Amino acid sequence: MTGKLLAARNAWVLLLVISAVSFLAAELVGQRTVAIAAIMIIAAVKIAVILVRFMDVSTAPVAIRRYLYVWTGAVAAAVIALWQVSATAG
Amino acid sequence: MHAHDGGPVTTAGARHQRAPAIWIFILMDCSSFGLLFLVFMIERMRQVALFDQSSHHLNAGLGFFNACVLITSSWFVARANVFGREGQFDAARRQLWIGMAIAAIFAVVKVFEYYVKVSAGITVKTNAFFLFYYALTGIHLVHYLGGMVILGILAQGPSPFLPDAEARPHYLRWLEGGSLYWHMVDLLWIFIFSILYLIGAR
Repeated sequence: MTGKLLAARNAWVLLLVISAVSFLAAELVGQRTVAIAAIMIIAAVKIAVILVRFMDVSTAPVAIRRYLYVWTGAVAAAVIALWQVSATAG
Repeated sequence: MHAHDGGPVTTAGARHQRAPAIWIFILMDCSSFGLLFLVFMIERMRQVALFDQSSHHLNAGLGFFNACVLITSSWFVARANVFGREGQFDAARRQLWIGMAIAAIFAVVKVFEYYVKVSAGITVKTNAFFLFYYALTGIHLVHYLGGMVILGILAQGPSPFLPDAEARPHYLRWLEGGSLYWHMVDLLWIFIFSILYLIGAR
């Protein structure tokens, strides 16, 4: 297996593990903080490892690339804000 | 990724030509979903108890399973790109077929989820949460179906109607564009899964 294929597999395993952590934390342990943090890590890994490493995100125009990074960060922040509101109300 | 990795496709000129279309599409699509997420968040802040209570009717296990399905499918699509750049088009096509076969499970689970909800009398009219549930997952499902069609076309390999020297770089451009789109579908599901299934989890 070549280096790139190995790296893709490792990224996949990492994403699955983080997904499992988020699910177990939210559903079984009731730790929404961990669940939401895990989801944010998934998004970051997805962008950083899969897109940058394998999908040649560097070919995107700089403005669009920045926009997508900001978008991911903004949605992640929105999810955290949602969780915060939900936790406060709960 | 460096300019020489993809052979003739990845000259600076070709990069300049190929980049905007798919990226602008992804930008527009992410913006649309961003707006939907924003509206969802505003509405949720106004009705936290209702949204929390309603989300308990969703099966987080199925949502998690579908996240794993899409992540696994994306892995095979990433592998297809690696093989494609190495000029191993048959191997790339195989990876795409496997990725599609795995991704098909997503639709089966989604339809099952819809069936269970509608059978229980939970429809788009039930309350604001389920309006968002059907809207977000429905729009995502349309994106998913579009992605499956694109992957299906890519799984046919380089065009037999073009000369070999032209068909291969052309195919690689489309393979990368289609893969980017598929990764976007995957990423959107991860966010949809978190805001619909996890935030209100008990």
